[in-house]
Order: sequence, then C-alpha cells, then structure tokens
Amino acid sequence: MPPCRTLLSMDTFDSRATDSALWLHVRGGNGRAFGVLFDRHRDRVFGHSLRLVRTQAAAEDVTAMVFLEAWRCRTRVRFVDESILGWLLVTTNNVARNQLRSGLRHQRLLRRLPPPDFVPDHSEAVLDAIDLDSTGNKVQRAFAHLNSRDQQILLLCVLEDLSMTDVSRLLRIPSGTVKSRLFRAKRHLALVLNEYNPIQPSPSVAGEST
Amino acid sequence: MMNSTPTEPHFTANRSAAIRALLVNIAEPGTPENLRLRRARRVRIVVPAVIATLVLTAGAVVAVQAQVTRTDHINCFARAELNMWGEFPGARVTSLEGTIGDSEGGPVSINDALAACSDLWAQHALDASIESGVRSDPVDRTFSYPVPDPLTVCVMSDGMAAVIPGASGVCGRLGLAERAK
Repeated sequence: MPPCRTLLSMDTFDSRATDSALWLHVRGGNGRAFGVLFDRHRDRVFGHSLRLVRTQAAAEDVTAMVFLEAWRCRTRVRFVDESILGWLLVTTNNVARNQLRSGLRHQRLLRRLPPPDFVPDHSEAVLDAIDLDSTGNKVQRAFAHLNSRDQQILLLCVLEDLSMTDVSRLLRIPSGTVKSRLFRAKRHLALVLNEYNPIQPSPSVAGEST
Repeated sequence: MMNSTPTEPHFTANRSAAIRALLVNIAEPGTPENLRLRRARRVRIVVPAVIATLVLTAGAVVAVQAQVTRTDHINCFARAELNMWGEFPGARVTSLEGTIGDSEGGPVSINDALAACSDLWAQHALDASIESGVRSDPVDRTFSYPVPDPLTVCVMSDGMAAVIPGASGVCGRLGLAERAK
C-alpha cells in the first residue's frame, strides 16, 4: 500500500516548529505563526534594543520595528541553523542606528500602539542610574569609538553569545574576519577604557621607583 | 551592559500585546494592516516604473525631433551597441566640415552619411563579428563586401550622425535620436 501523503495546510502549524518552518507559514499568510515567532524572540530583541537606545519605551518601539522589518523583508530573511534570531539581532542594530528612518517607514502602524506606561515616581531609578553612570558611560563612550561593523560583531559575539561561525554566516563575511575584528574591537575597547581609568601603580611599586 | 539598570526592565504587557496583534494582522491577507503595507509596496514599485516609462517615452519623442548639427565626423556602427560612455563598435569617419551635406554647409543629408558608412562596409573595413567592429587587415578594394540592410541614421547626443545597422527603431533602442526629416 503506498504511503499516505498529507499536504500541510498553511492554516495549521506546530508551534514548536523551527523558525524557518514557521516563516514559511508567515509567508503563506499565517499571522498566528508570526505571533509565535514574536513570543519566541521578543525578549532577546528587546534586551538587545535596551543596550542600544536610552529608554525602555524606545527599546519597545525598536522591537516592534524589527519585527515589522522582518515582515517587510520576508523574502530576504536569513536563518542560521533554522533560527531567525541572529537576523533579528543584526536588524536590531540597524534599526536602532537608523531609528528615525525606520520609525518614519512604519509611522502609521506604530501610532496605533498604546503609549508607553506612565511612571509616577522614577527617583529610585534615577538614583540607580547615577550609580551606574560612572561605569556605564565609560563603556558606552568606549563602545562608540568602534566602527559600526565592529560594534555589531562585539554585540553579537560577546553579549548575545553567538558563535563566530553563526556571525560570519549572518553578516556574510569570512569567520577569520569576524575573529580578527572581534579581537581588534576588544583590544580597542580595552585601550579606550584604560584611558578613562588608567591602571595606577600600587604604592609599593611606586615607592620602589622613586 | 550598555544601558542595563539594576531592576531589569520588562516589556510593557499591553504594548507587547498590541505589537503582537499588529504583527498577526499584518501577516494575515486581507486585513487593513496587510492591505496598507501591500499598497505601500505596490506604490514603491509602480511609481518608479511609471516614471521610468515616462522618461523613456520622453526620450523617444526627443529622438524623432533631433537634427545632425556636427558635420565634421560621422560615426559608422558595426553593431547596434552603445555603452554609457558613448563608445561603440565601429569607426568614426572624418570629413571636412561643410563638404558633407548641402552646399550651404547645412545639416548632413541622410544619403551622404549613409553613403560614407556604406563605403566602409563595402570595403569590409567594418565587421560585426570583431569586438572593436573594425578590421585591422587590408580592406577589400573591390568594394564588393555586402552592406547591411537596412542602415539607419541616428543622431548622437553631441549632434553627430551615427549610421547603425538596423531598422528605424534601433535609434530609440540605443537611446539615440532619429534624424528629423
């Protein structure tokens, strides 16, 4: 007896399916599949956005724009090991950098979103932020010294913990280039950070030298 | 690391739900959001296409109205090809200004330009199968090599005549003007 073959309808999908399988459903017009992908990757995209923009509300907007961009570029989305996450993170970098342009592109849709939550008393958060400022600003300033491609590699390899192979596939550059750029970016970051906070010789060493 | 705060911020629940609903609607065919984005995409594709068509059409209109204004040279094309720098396979025939055309030194007549290039073809100085379009070896002094038929006179952007193998549409195809009657 010949095996029974079933044609999978675009309306039905397994929510545990891989990203690339779900994306086929999204492209086939299944909105719920897009919702599942949003649930799956929202927090990683949001977390990444938070590092790149200054406020929570802006990070939420960037997250929305990243997913809107995914749909807009749905035929060009790249998957690494069946996962869309890397592409979303790379797009997050681009959207955060070109926030104004991306915002204008999706302006009408973004206007439909509810306004950011009202924070009645943010004094605690301000105090916490001041504590962090001394180190946070230094890191941020050092990070800003890197060119955009090096920033991207550093964020993806170090903060998002993607492998160099995955990053090389995502950015379409040789993995050797990722490795050398990552090394260069780390060294540059260390140099700039040391300028802000140069290592002081210990008193004993200082005493010996005089 | 960059902007982290001690109390890890979370995605606002109601905004998350709104974004999710928006995305679901965008991907579903026939919803207002989906139609809006598809319309925007169609506009982005159709408008440039219409503009390009208008530009090409305008070029064609200009083509039928141009006159040969430079009579010092005639461009004889071996093939109907012209690159963006105005280079073509073939030869440029030099003539003394005013000796080609009518006795008052007016625009080159079609017959003179055609005759000049036809001579080159008849001597096998032009050869469509050679990349440069011009033969370097001795030419046929018997003038017996077949001349392509038809040859069309077009006008280049610098006002020179160009004689090109092909029917009248060849000028428009290369973005050149046809010589005004």
